[in-house]
Amino acid sequence: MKPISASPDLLPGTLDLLVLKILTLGPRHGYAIARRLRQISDAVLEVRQGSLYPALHRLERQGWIRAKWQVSETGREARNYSLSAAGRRQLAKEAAAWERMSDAVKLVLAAAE
Amino acid sequence: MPNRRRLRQELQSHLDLRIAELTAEGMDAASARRVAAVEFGGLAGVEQECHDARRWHRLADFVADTRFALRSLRRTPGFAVAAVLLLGLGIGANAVIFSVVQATLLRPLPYAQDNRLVWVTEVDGQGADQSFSVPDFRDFQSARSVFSSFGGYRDLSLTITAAGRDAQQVPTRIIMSETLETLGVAPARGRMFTARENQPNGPAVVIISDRFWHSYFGADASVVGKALATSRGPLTVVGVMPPGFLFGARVDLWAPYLQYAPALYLSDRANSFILYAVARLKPGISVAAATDSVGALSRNLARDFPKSNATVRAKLMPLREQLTGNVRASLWMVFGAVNLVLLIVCANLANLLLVRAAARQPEMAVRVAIGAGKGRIARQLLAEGLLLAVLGGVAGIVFAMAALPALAAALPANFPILGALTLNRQVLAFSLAVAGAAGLAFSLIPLAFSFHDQLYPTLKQGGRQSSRRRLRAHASLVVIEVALAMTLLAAAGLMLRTMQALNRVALGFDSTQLVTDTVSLSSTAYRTLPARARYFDQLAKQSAALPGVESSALVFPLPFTTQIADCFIAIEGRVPEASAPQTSYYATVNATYFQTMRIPLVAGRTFTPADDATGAPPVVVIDRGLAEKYWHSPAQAVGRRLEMFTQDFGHGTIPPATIVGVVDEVKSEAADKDANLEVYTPLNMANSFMTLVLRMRTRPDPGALAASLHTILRRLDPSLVIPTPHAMGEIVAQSQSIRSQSMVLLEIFAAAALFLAAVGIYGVLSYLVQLRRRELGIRIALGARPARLIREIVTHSLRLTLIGLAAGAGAALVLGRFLATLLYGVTRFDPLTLITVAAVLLASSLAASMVPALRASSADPRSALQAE
Repeated sequence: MKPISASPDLLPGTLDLLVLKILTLGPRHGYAIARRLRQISDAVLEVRQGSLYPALHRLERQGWIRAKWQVSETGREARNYSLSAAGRRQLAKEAAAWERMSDAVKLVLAAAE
Repeated sequence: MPNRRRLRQELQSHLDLRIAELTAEGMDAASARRVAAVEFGGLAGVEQECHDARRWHRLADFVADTRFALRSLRRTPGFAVAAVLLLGLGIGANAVIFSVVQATLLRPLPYAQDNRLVWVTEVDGQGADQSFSVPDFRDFQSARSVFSSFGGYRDLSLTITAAGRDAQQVPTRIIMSETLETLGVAPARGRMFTARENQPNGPAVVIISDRFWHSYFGADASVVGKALATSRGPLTVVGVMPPGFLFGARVDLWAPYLQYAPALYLSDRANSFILYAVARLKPGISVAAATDSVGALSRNLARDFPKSNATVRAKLMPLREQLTGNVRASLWMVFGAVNLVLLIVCANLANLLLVRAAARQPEMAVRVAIGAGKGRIARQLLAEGLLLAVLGGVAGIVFAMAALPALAAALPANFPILGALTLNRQVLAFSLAVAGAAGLAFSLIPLAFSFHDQLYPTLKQGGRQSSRRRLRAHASLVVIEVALAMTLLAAAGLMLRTMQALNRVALGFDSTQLVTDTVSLSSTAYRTLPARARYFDQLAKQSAALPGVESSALVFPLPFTTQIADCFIAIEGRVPEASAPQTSYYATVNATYFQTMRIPLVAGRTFTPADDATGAPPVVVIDRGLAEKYWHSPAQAVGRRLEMFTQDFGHGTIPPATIVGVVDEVKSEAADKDANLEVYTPLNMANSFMTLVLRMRTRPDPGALAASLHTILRRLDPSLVIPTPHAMGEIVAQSQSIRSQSMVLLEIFAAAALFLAAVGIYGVLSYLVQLRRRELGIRIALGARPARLIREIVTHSLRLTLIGLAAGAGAALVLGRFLATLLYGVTRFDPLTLITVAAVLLASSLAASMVPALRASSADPRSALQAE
């Protein structure tokens, strides 16, 4: 994992969408989310790792994800995040909005050619 | 919210995992730590961001909600201004009345540990107040089972007669030993009375109020030890009470009781010189326990002294209850009324907000569809309601600040305010709480109905349909408003009938065209009875010649003033069994008094000028009550003799007098109180004070009369202070001032309630007609007759009104219980009141529904359909 500072390429709101999506695979702690984020995006989407946490806390505050301190199998205490029902609906909504947006952008790009 | 330690732990565990991963890849520990830290970014910064992500979210939401509410209110300024004003008036009136409640019923009494103070008296078998006899009082004082101290008092007036000053009457409270100790208030200067001073023949001393110290002694620092010249001789000032000390309305002097009680009373258990007790309960003794204990004491006395005490028992109540008893019921009634009005205001606002919420249903549906949480929308609606409440609360406090001084000035003199009437912290806190509760009430109701409706169908239909539930909510709010208004109007109606009944009560004299003026003589020139009689006789004769004056008379004390003169009387031939003296009130009058007051003569004759003359044989006139009590009929009383004993006003002993006539009874305290037994003595017993009574030929104008009276008084004696004349009608009205003022407030609140309920009915019906415009248009297009539509709308309104009236009448009957002590000549079940009030409300509801009904009948089918 490369040390990366801010991520000017990341569209606003995208991080939320990605975090919610990753959590559909099951509960995990912050580090696991950061690693997964990097893996599945083929390292295209770079997030300064520290900036993940304010996002997690904001999502928790909005009720879309839930957090719980748990002891992992290695005996380490970790704060595990999981998706709430509201979060699942939110993901569907944001994903749909994203699709529309990306379709629209594609259309515009195609028409402009 | 995890605390900072937990947050750091979470972030640290991320770093630890990364370091472990990097070392597993072969990096050395130090480099791994450095790389992980760089990748992560500043730990402290991230920590703060996490923290802010939570807190700022909340605050930002709040700010956003408030701004949203402001924007949405600004879009409809008419609604916003009306709502804030309405609420402001409601809350303002509430704050004003509450400040009076607080200053009267809730603020601590100005005594140490005031909740342990009780007031005690003795009542007879019928429960009529008798007050303590001195021997009974002493037995209670020495019984130390429940009271840690036991004091007593009676009110009278002392005449101050300093040379070179006008004589003045000063309200005085004579007190038993232990009284100031019981209240726990010590003099600011000087001392309390000593044991020797509390004896019947002790040194003549007095304690003065801070107010009197300033007004009479000019706050002289060396006042203690100085003499105060009174009609009873000089009294040495031994103490000055601290400012704000309050024991007795406007009392300025306190003197030892036993020095004033005639010797006869000191050992007589059957009669009281009037003595009420104020006692302090021992710590841990409840009022109930004390009541049991005084009951036992009374039973012991009844056993030991069956002749005098067989049916006498002590009655005890918290001191505050006794002090504020005359206003408690009125005040709670008015406070209840103002809260009912506020509830109607809330119901109206809830109705308006419900309409707004319905109008915004499509907007809300859209916002839910694009992802705003229902919680967020609910918060926004709530923010709007609370913003209105806060604005209304501020408007209310501004209104109350303007209105409170006016109310304070209008309060009757006998209103027991404990200190200043201000919008203090408690009142402000209460008003803000009321505003908040009101805001919650009228914003939660629309909220409750906003989310039960299906949002998506709403969206499809363009928000035209309103759910059945919501319509029922509107109807319920109208019913509630009508019920509240009915309750309030019924109470107001009963009070109105009470005042009418009181005005019809025969007072025993005709007050309509009387003007009165109390003249006080300075002591030097008028120390002797003949000198006083001469002066007053001249005054009566000269004022009778004034233009517009039909006749002129003199009296003291004048009925319906706070001054009383009581004596006890011994009736010739009624010895020895009834040797115990009987008490009576008495008044000194001149020969023209009965004719001027139009008090009818029942038997014998009234006074003649010859009776008024100095040295004339002693005669009295008595009233019918006294005659019937001792001689069974007025005619039999004429020619009998009685003897009066009084030390009031420096009369000293009065020789036995022949009863020459009997006149009808006169109410002397209040219309709803029985007439007192009364003895009238002629002018040769004149006080230093007499009240001039003038019967005018036309409606009296005391202002116009003042100048001509002034001339006469100046001519008679230029050294006297000229007092202000008052219309007798006003003096009589003042005796009911607490009741009549609370009635006026109640009428105002009832009128407000009626208006608000009518506005509510009008608003809801207009809205319903608006909603049904399409349906009504279609029906008109299909040939429905307008009259039928009008009937339909009006019937709907009347149905709601009738339900409200029934509920309100029920509430009025139940709540009427609390009015019982305020009513006179009418009961809470008075059908005339209830029916009249219901008819008024029904008529208002009919009027309020006519406009919407007419609008419905004239709905244009075309435009109604095109509006789609």
